[in-house]
Amino acid sequence: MDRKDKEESRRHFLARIGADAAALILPATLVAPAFAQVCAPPGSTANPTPWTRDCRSIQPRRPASTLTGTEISKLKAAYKAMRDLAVSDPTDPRGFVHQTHIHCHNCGGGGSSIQVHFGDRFLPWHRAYLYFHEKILGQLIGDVNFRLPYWDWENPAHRTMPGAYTSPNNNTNPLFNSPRSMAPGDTLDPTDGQPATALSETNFADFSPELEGSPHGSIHNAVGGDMSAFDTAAKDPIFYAHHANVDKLWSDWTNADASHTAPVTPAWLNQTQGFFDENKKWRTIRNADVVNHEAKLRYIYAGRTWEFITWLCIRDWVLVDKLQLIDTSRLQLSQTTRQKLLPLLDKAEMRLRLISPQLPTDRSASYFLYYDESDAKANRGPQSPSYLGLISVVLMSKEGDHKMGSPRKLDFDLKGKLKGLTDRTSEFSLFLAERNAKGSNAAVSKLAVRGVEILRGQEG
Amino acid sequence: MLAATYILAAALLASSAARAGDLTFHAQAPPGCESSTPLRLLLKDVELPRSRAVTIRAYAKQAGREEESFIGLFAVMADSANAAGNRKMPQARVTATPAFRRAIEPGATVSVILRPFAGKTAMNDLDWSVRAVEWACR
Repeated sequence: MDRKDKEESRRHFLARIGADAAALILPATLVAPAFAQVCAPPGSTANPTPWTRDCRSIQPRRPASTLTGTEISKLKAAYKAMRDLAVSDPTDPRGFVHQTHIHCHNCGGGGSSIQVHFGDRFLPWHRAYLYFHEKILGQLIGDVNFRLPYWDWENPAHRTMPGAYTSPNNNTNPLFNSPRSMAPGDTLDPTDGQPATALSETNFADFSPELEGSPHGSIHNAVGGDMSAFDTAAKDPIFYAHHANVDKLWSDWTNADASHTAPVTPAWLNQTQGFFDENKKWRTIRNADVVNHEAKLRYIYAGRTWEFITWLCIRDWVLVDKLQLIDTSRLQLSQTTRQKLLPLLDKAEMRLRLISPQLPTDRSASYFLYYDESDAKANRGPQSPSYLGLISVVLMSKEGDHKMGSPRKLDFDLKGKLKGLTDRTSEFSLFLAERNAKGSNAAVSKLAVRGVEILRGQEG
Repeated sequence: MLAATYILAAALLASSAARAGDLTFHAQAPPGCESSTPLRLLLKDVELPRSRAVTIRAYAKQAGREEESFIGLFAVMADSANAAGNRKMPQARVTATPAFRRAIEPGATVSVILRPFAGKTAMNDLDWSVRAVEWACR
């Protein structure tokens, strides 16, 4: 994208958000700050190769506080490999130091004229940055299914820094960073990390700057140390988990209403960002390529609206059949439906879709979904045969205002679960059990829906 | 463009000179925006050191009352710990929380207190300035 296109895109964004926000944006972008460090990309960025299709399996980014021991070990191994690479080959753009320089360079650091904050590039640029960073981490540990975790600081239970980043709280931990103001166990101020006002915005031009100011900026400042300055923020590994959550909020906002769309102007859609990929090749990627992160970048967010894993490049999801609804909370699998499903038992790409599920909205909480009541009462989560997935309800404010309402649809992966479902010969219900409740303490409730569909992935 | 009709109330009776710590403005009552319209506090001509990351929390105090109500916040990262000079922003905005909108009495005049923080720590030594504050529905 040439300078003229960039300016056109910028003018469009400023026109949409109004002169008030423009007034906030202009000085910060037009005045190059005085930075101490040099952070230009290593090697040549001439003759970029445009990014093309990614056909890895779609994998979830998970809340950092809920990672298993194995997942934490993998995350630490990936960052250790990235840090080691920076030492063994300081010219390798995949090394940790150069990875941190990407942010610095794109924030005006080292004399760069680029500034990806304070404007309409903020969200797509950071999405692309994390995407390439994540692919490099995965490649360094030989796992193409590696995905970054996110720090869901809006969750009241997760307002301390995720343990993986602070334990041990010293340099033996590749996720540790010494100059942090926030100590292990410190909790965020209740006014930080509140996305309610941003999520209640109705257009991208208001949503993006609102999200960028707070909670994005206030979390940076609350962590403190390197995180609180543009040129050093990415030196702290928590940066990537923090920005994954900012990215997730963009995803949540997009999914919340059909009118919540990214800009559709050619200038914005064709705006390009440059990054070194996992093979050290300089790539350019357009904003248009990052809008649909599930289809294009091959990740979803677990923990809010769905949790599933799909395989291959699914081009589309086609309806196999609908379950019979006796009433909104009583379902039945007809013989006809069963006959349609039996040949599909071995297929990995199957989904259960709930139409207009009536989720509890009295408070923010996460629920396990089951199709068997005794499993729901035992509440053993993914270990239960009838476990379907996790649903998180995050209210937009603790006062209960601006509730996002229940989603229009929720999809769940049926891999390995279809047989159990087709074995149900009598009527059954779907049950919610709060994630943290155990055994007899589990409050189980039937989930009302307007429809339940079984979908099959159509490979592209 | 921010249409003039968006600004329903604006008043400033406070100093604009750079000073340390909290800034207090005696503003008019916040306008009664429609429930679907955000109520925003617009901060005019904000100047902050480029080397400091600052979270500005805005509070309101009704005349004759002691307690403060939290309005909302905005945050700006530092350019660099070594950056020189100030960041000058013609305007910054704070979107009022639903709790504040419910708490404020219609027509009540409030003082606006802008309090800078580094995380949870008050920045009593911060040299900064805001020329004016305005309420707006948009």
